[in-house]
Amino acid sequence: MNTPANQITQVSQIQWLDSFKQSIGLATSKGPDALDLVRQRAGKALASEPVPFRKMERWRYTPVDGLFKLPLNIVKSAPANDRDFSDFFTLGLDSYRFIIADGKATFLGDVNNLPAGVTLTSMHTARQQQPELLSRYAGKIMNHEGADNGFQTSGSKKDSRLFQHLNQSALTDGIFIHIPEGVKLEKPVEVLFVKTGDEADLIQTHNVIVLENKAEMTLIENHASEKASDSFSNNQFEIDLQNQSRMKHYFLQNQHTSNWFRQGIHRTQSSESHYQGWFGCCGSHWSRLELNAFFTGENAVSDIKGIQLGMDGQVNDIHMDIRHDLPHCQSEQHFRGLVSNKSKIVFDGNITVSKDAQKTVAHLSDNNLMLTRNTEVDAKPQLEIYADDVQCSHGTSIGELDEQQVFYLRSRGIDENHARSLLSLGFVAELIENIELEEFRQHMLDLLDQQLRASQRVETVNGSN
Amino acid sequence: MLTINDLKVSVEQKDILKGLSLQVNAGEVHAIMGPNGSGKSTLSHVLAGKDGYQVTSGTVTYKGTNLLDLETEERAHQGVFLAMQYPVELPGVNNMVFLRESYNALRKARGEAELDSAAFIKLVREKADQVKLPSKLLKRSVNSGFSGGEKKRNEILQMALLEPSLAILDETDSGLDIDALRIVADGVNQLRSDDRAMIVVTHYQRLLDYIKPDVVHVLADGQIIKSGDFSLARELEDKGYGWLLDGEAA
Ligand SMILES: Nc1ncnc2c1ncn2[C@@H]1O[C@H](COP(=O)(O)OP(=O)(O)O)[C@@H](O)[C@H]1O
Ligand SMILES: [Mg+2]
Repeated sequence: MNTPANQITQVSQIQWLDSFKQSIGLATSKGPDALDLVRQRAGKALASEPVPFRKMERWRYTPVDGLFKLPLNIVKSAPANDRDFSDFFTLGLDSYRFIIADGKATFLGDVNNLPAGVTLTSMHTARQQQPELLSRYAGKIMNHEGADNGFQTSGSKKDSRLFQHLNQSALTDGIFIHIPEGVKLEKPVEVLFVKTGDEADLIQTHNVIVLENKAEMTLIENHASEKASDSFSNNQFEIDLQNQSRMKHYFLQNQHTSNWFRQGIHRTQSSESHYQGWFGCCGSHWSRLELNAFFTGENAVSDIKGIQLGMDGQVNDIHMDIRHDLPHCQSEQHFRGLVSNKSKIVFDGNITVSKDAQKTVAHLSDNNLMLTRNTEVDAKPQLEIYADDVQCSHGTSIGELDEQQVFYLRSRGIDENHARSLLSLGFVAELIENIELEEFRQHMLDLLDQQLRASQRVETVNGSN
Repeated sequence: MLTINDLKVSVEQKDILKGLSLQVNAGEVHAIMGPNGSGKSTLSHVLAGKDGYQVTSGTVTYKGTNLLDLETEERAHQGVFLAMQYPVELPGVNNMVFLRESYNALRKARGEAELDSAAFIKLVREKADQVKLPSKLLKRSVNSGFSGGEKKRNEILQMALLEPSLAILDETDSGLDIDALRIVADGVNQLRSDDRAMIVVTHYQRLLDYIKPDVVHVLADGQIIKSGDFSLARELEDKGYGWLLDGEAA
């Protein structure tokens, strides 16, 4: 291993990471199960993995030093079981519910009442009850050849897999969903990830979702916190969509603005599978979402829309790698961002269309509004195309609110701050106009509205100083 | 209601209004006609409080207060309304939400309680019927992808809803067919009352046939060069502006 000296120094300075590494060595499992192999491999890799820093291509615009200086506790005692989190399920849907409180997953539904063959359970339980099924997928989807495109092609100079290894070497809990062939899960699955106390904890979940041929489901993720804390959530999802399966995925990250958050979602899609994802990235002091997709069959469709919000000193980062290796697949990825008051949005969207992926359709757009001056947007769309018969496009923009529009609203009696937040909200609302789950759309808009109004009040206060 | 005295306005160092005076009393409807580029929209915008115009001299008094001291939204709260020559599109801002925010902002400014959602929707539907705005346009984004005529009808809908004391219509009739023209005229006529005033900027006598203004002014090169009764509109329609402009130059 040829690791530059300055990185080694950095590694040894990270207290929580060092304690974590030591704890892996000490961990005594009850006897190795199938996942221990994944865990041990990741643990080994973690030991020598360089820490992400600015000179790596994939970390150029995302300051991460602060995360390594946090006084994180690496062991978290689970919260009491009798806590009531029902207030967090605001959508009012009839759903299968999970709560993952401080990393510990609980399925709230009746396991005996699920459609035949469906598995909805915690990772912890799955490890004990369905180890064979789980081990067929866990750690396999994300390490699928090509699925991890960003890393495979670039090596450690461009990126670091530290957070992936960190996550896989723990594999404590999360959700495991397996829908067998042909089963359409009627009710959506709602998962609440909640950080409870004010302790600075490292919280990791690993989640695996498998839809066999022609299976269908809707997943709603909600990431929230009860209190302010310097905690770091490091989540990983592995999603495998087999032939003609269909998944709708709603994601809302609205953690407290003191929290640190990272989530990777690795997805493989076989023939004629269909994925639709809506991502609302609103909360956290620092947030990084990594979306990776890899087509393993033809005529598959992936359709992603995402909103990034940076309101008060936040860093909001999305990295996306979509890889087309096979012909006739379609991927749509459209993002919008709002940034104000010393916040920063990073968008790094990569689509690779290899030589054999003829008839690929791939579109990428990322449009941002800067609501105040002291903000930063780093938008880097990248389309690498090696096939010659494709329909692909990409575009980004960074702009400001149109003063004509502001005047129009003010001339109708709406005060300036409110006019600006209505227009900002409109800018992102446009993207999710056709969202299927109206409750989610409305909830997301209400949330964005609250944050926009709150943030502009702060600005007015500063302005009058 | 409104007294403009020797108003001079420039845009980017260019003088546009060059000493304009105008007196509009409550209960009156005034028409302003004039060639393109004479400053009609500039006047409308200055009255509504749009940024980017420098008032270099003159006064504007509205209901006894200095209008130019008020913020745009405050003017709206005091009953000033401008139907824009080019209504702006607001992508992503729902028309119904926009109308409600606006309506309630004005009520709040008057110290009245906000109208609840059900009552408001009923009210808007009625008004939309009056101006023949298809109700599906209420659910869309404000003016987004509306035709020219639909945008103008949406302006008149706002006017009907907000019931301003001083309504300024900047070429609302331009590009409209005769049916749409009647809708604009009806909107104006329904609002007409002893305690309201209106300024209708237009190129065409057509609209004035339906509205019958009390006074007609000709605005040319930043000044009002002639005022008269309704017959002046007829004369302008027949003869154009040439005879007036020549007279000025002479
Ligand atoms: N924002 C602007 N910047 C520069 N010139 C302007 C601007 N707005 C208007 N003008 C100029 O002011 C003059 C009057 O314009 P306007 O008030 O729109 O006239 P009208 O509405 O009578 O056609 C025109 O010569 C126009 O070019
Ligand atoms: Mg004009």
